[in-house]
Amino acid sequence: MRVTVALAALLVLMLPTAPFAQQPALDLGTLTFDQLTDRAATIVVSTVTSRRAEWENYGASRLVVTKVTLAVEQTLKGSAPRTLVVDVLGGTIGDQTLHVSHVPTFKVGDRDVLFLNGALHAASPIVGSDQGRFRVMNEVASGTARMLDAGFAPLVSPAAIGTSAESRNNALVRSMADAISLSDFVTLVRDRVRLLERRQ
Amino acid sequence: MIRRLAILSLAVGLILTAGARRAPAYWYDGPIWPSNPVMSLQFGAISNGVTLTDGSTTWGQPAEAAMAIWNQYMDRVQFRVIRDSTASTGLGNGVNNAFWSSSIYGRSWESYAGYALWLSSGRSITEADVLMNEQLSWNSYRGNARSGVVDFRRLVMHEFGHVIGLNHPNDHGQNVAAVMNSSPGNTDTLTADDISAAQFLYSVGGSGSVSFPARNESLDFRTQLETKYRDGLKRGNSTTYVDSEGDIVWLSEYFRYRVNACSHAQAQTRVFAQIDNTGTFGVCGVVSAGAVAFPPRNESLEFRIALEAKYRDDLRRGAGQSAVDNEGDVVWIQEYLRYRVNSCGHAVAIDKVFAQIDGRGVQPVCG
Repeated sequence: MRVTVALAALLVLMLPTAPFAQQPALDLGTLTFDQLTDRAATIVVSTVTSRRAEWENYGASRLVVTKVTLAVEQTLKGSAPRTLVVDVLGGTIGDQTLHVSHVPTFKVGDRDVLFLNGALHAASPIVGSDQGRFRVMNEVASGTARMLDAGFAPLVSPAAIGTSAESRNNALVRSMADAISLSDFVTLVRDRVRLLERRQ
Repeated sequence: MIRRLAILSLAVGLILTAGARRAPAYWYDGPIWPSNPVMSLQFGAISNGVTLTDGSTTWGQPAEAAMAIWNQYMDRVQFRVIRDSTASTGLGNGVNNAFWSSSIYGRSWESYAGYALWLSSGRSITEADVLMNEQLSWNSYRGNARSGVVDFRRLVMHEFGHVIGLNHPNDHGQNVAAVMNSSPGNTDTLTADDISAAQFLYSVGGSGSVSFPARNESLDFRTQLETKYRDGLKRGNSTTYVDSEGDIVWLSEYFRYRVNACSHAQAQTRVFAQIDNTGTFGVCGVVSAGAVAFPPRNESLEFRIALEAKYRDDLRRGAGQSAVDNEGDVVWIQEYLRYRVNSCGHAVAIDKVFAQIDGRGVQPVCG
């Protein structure tokens, strides 16, 4: 009985929350490593080789879209050509800049592991808008390629992806040498992809 | 993407006390509003005429409340509102539309509940639209975020933060509680960092300069950091060609340029010119009001690596030893300076940095 009352109360509470038809929920929080991997249509290790901003008309709107060209080193999920061009909403043409929240920006030379959503006409080509982008940098002492998050904090483990700000704070005290190597990260992604394939 | 204003009287050369601005963790893209942003609210009525959890009877009420909270901390511009606007929506139409949408001007949503798009020309924001995802279940409530029901007020407050030119501190190497983090989570209103950002960009009093610490204090910090790494963390020595004094002086100069609107390349060029004694430069931007942000870690590290090469190859300095690796060097000097330009004294700043090194997380600033 008590449960029924509680449920009823919850339903009443929820009533005002349905001003629109319910749709399959999007994940509004941060995505975990497994979620990013599972959702990605394609996962690549790539370097930005060029970018070009263009105007795009949509109805009465005039948008700036940046075409980012990637040199693909490795494909970890799906298939990708050696040279891949992705669309990113936002960019600069002349002195006009379109800024778009939650959409990453790329510059030539950026080396990343990218979890691409495969959407043909999305604001961002990245899973989770900006969450499925991980930076690759070489550690100074050893030259080992290591993984950093979008804020350039060393990514100690994929388990840290999608965790709280508190965890990120702790990551600040890590040195670059503590970050997972690119090769280990790639192995973990491939393992997850294989697991996913077996389930299918 | 981000920095602002301030003019520093740079007495230049090697800094004894060069000015900078208050630099908490917030992050901003650069352009700001030269006049009041007038938002055309077009969220319409609540379906079925229900009342939201916080008592709002229209979607416009929490939206206006969010703008009012930002307005408390801005002097030079204020959000203004057009209620129940019927203006046509579109980017580039000169109207600051705020409305429900099923797409981002024809492009699909990806994960987030709302997006802000803002246009700038030069240093001025010229238009900003806020699009909220109509496919989600919304309400307006205070307290922790609830599963499956998105709090409209905190999300629209976040998007209005973009409208005034802010970006996500946590996407730029900053760790701080803020409604402007990419996912506000349980933060349901502005935090000290968000407020600092608004004040820095738009308050009359936000343009006051804050000095970088005197050189002897910075050097003392660097000396104590060496001891901390060697004796506390038991780190072994690695080879470096940059002595401690050169390290702290040139990193401080690099950061001083960066927090005053210089790009990575501009800052490095200026510092190297100073090292070569071939020029003394002012900072890169004198912006009208604004915030300061420290550069992302990778760029600071790139500079530190280049400095190493400069000392080794150009200045032909001999090899020395340091227990502090390059990454630690860059991260902790940056943190020390961040605390100092945020009103912390020398000893307090050192304590806070060492607390971080000891794993006690990012400490609050003093201002």
